[in-house]
Amino acid sequence: MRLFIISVFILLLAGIANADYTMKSVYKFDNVDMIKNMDDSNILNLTVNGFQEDSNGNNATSKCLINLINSVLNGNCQGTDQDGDIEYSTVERDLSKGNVGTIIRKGGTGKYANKTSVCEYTVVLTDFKIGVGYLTASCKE
Amino acid sequence: MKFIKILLILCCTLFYAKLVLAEDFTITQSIKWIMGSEIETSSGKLRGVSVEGAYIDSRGHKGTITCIGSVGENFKADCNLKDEDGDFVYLDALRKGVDGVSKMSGGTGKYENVTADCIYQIANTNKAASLGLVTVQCSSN
Repeated sequence: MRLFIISVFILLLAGIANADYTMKSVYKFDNVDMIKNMDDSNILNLTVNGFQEDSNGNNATSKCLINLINSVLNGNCQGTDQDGDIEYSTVERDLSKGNVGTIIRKGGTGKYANKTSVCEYTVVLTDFKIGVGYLTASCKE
Repeated sequence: MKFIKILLILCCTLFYAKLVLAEDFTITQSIKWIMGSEIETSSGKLRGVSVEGAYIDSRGHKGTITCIGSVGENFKADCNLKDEDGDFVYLDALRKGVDGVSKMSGGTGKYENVTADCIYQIANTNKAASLGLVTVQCSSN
């Protein structure tokens, strides 16, 4: 019984130590280009330039290269923060399933070296015709 | 003395009515801008700017924002919001620094006689990419 309580306590502490943070990002779409796939679906490539701020006090300019095939969005991003530290991440979302997607930080330089994180993001507002958007995210390191 | 008492009651009633009738709402905008040509004026250089974006408000409306304005000592612009039903809100914007004021002065459809005083902040901005996040707090008149 004592062992069980100690294990729960350790797991709880580990959970607290595993820092969570939130992030918000405003962005715009550039260089949008489209071709048709053989099944008549659209294949889209675009650049997403953005500015993000997180609850750890970091803010970064970011650039993502995105492709969209059959409503599935995939891309790679690079963000440079106020200290010049770079984070590398991937983004994915199935547009047919709504406005929630995933951003995974693979690592980076400086404070992001060997630091991975997984964020669930929600697109709060977007207008593809104008080419702007805003998302918020909840992240776990 | 009696007159002053009546006046005080009247003032309190009007103040309370104003508080009850004032409908507060917020707007979140993701915007991008394109700078235009520049001229010399008696008060310095003035540059044209056009702004486009998407918005969502706390009343449940969303749509697009378009502004035509100028940047000199201040930022001044005339704007409209077009919501999901195609109804327009007409507003202006005046800003020096990161905080600004905006006045809504009617519109079409459901906004025909709606006026409101708003304050707004540029919450996040990436000047290199010409994009920003704007938060607006409004009080209906």
